[in-house]
Amino acid sequence: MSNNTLEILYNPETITKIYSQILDNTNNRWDFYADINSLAVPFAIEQVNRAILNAKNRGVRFRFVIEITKANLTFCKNSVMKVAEIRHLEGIKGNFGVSDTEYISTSSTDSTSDIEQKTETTKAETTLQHAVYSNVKEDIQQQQYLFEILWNNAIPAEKRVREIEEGIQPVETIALEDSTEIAERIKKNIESSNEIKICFQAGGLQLIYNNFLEPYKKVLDSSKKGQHKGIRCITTINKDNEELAKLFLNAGTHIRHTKNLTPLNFSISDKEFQATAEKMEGGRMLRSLLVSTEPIYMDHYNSIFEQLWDNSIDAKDRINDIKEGVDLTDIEVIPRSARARLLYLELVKNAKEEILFIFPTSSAFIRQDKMGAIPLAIEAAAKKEHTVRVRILVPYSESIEQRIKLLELKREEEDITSHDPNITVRYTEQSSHAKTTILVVDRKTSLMMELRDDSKTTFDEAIGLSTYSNSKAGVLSYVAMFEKLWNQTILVEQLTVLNKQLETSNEHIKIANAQLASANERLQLHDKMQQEFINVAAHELRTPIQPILSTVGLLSSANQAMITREELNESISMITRNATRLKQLSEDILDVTKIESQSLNLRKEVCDLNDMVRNSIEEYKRNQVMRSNKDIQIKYTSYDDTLFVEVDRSRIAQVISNLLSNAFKFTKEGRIVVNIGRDQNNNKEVIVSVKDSGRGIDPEVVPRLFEKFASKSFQGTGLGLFISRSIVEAHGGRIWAVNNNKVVDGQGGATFYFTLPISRRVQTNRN
Amino acid sequence: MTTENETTKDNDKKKKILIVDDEPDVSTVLKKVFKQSGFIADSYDDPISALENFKAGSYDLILLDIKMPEMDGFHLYREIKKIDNKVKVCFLTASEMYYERFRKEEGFYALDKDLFVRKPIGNEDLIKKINTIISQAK
Repeated sequence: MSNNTLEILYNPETITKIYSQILDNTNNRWDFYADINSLAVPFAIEQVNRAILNAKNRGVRFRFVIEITKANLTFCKNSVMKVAEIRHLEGIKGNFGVSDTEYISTSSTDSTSDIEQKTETTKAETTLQHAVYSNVKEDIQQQQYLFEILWNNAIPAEKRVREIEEGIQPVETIALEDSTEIAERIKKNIESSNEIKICFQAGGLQLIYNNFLEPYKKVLDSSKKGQHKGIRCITTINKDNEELAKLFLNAGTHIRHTKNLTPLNFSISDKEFQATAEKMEGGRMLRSLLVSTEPIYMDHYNSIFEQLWDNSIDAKDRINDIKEGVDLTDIEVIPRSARARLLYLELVKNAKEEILFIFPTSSAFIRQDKMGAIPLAIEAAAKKEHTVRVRILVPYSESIEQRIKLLELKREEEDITSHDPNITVRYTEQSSHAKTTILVVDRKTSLMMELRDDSKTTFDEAIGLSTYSNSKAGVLSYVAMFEKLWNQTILVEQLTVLNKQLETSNEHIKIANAQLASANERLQLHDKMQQEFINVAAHELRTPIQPILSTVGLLSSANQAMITREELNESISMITRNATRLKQLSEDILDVTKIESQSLNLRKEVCDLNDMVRNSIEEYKRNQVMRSNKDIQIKYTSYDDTLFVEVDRSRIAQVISNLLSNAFKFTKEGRIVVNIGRDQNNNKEVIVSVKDSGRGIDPEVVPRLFEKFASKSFQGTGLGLFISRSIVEAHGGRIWAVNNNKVVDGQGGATFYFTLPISRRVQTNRN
Repeated sequence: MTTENETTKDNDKKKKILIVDDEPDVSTVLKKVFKQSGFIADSYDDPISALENFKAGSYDLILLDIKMPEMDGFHLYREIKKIDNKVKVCFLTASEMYYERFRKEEGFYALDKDLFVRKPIGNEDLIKKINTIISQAK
């Protein structure tokens, strides 16, 4: 051929001849691009085949870009690879060959699409019908350039061969934009799959039903036979696709329902990943599909699928819910507290069986009560058509307790007490960790409201994020949590009761201990007093003996004749005085013993108190005044009428004598005034008073003046007033003493009073 | 109150004793007892008067009751010691309790137990005891 020839050839022989010549002419290269049908042609024509072998022997480099498939794999390995370097390219159409200087593209008459047949048929049958030939330099350069591009985009044959032999899918990621092609790809994927996971929006089921029902049926059939792992499908089931979902379910598809699927629909088989962002509406075929065999994509979407699968609910449950008209979202996060509030109130209002509340703080209760949640719950509990049981767990506070009591009262007023008390409140421990209000209604829905700021007064301000759920597992776990806390409060209450009982017992023990201690103290005090008594008694008993003993000693040792009458009298007087004192003391001690053993017997007789007091004073004067050199007068003003009393004469005389003796002891000079009279107030008693002008009663002594040894006196037994009180009280009277008011009385000192009841018998007799 | 100052030369050799006891009968009779035994004796039944009239060197010994109103025997002794450091003392009491209580609680624990005599005591024993104390070296 001459230079710069571009020719279309029609004669098969010419074509064969020129083809062979091209191969003979080239010294460096023969680049060949061929589809499945064209690949075998040069090898099938004997003349051309020989030319190929010759060129190869001359050292010409053969490069082929072809499509290697399962069908032509053996042919490629046995024939083609022996002469040429091969690269694989998917989806090749047509053929051309280009050498250093020439180009040819052929077409054969053989229209058989059967690859097997083509490669295995006799070579003679293959003829070339027409061809395009060129040796135009620009054409050649263009074709060579084109081939380089194809060569660079193709993959090494070895890799492709291994993929086919080992069944490995080629790793590729492509975007399909032709509906037919997309349909083919999806169908092919379904048919070649071993497992299908698919996740799509509500319209996806219709799309499959319209376009891929047959391949689906096939797969589901082989799944039933255990030859396929089956189809798992995640979608959103609503009233529109509910029937289709049932159909697919019945056919053996595993379907789960979830809401809020992303707009990306995808499927993963064991071979490839397919995805589209197209809206699936009206079952229309897709216009774009992303296909990838990239393991990273597949792994990624596999894990997404599994997660979604775990978080979705069984389609059967969902279909049931739709049938029952329960149309709810599963889990919804509500960032706006105002919306949570509306939902909260709605849920409480529509409760049919049960409302459970857990409040984290008492403030939360107060806020939500104000907001209307508690009143609504009360209303629900009071409904007659279906009783809603309301249980509330809230940290204790006084204001809440008051509020609850108020509610109970209100209930009584409204006369709805005929129902069981359907609202029960239990108090929990306030915990700093508790940060959520939990509402569970009918064990079907829960609303968890996170506390953002407990110091706020309104719900909207206090609440942060809320989470609504009707997920069975989620709601039931809240219920379980509630029950646990509820039972805990019972335990706590029981513990509290026990603790209180313990505290009470402790209190009792403490009181008993204190009583014991005080009794012990009293005993000790008593002991001490008893000891004191013995000491005082000893002192008092010994003291008068000294003068007696010494006087007797003096008398006996002295020269008897020398003793004057006067001295003798003085001695006798001293002995008498001290012996009398000893006698008095021994009698006092005996009296105390009687009083303390409660065996003080009174021999009562009716007598005139006037006479008795007068006699006592006379008696006292005789005994006392004569042995003292004090200048003290005793003045007695008698009552101008008889005052009959029923008393033990000697005992009352003893009292008067004691009081006089007392007054006398503390008065250095001046006078003692004795007075008697009726009590002005009740006229049932007489009052006897003994007023002295001595130094008065030491304020420290006043509280225990009438007790034993209260006296600070260094004379006497300290028993006189004690005995006097005992005697007066035994007669039904009282005894007391006051210090005189110097301004009113014009003198100091003290006045002792005692009362005695006036004898009624005598009064009656007189009248 | 009874005081007697005898000024004869014989009296200079006699031991001089002061008796203070709030029981007049006791102080009176004891004065007689000492006098009969050759002592020069003064007696008071009021400790305050006894202290007011006390002069250094007047007595060889003071015989004091312990339990007395206004001023007990120990405190009286302490006051007298301020005036006369040399005078000897003997305490006379009817109760061990007062004796013990005063020794322990009132800070007179250093006082020798031998300086105490318990009432009632016979005349001879008392004189013997007093002579013993007076003859003791300081």
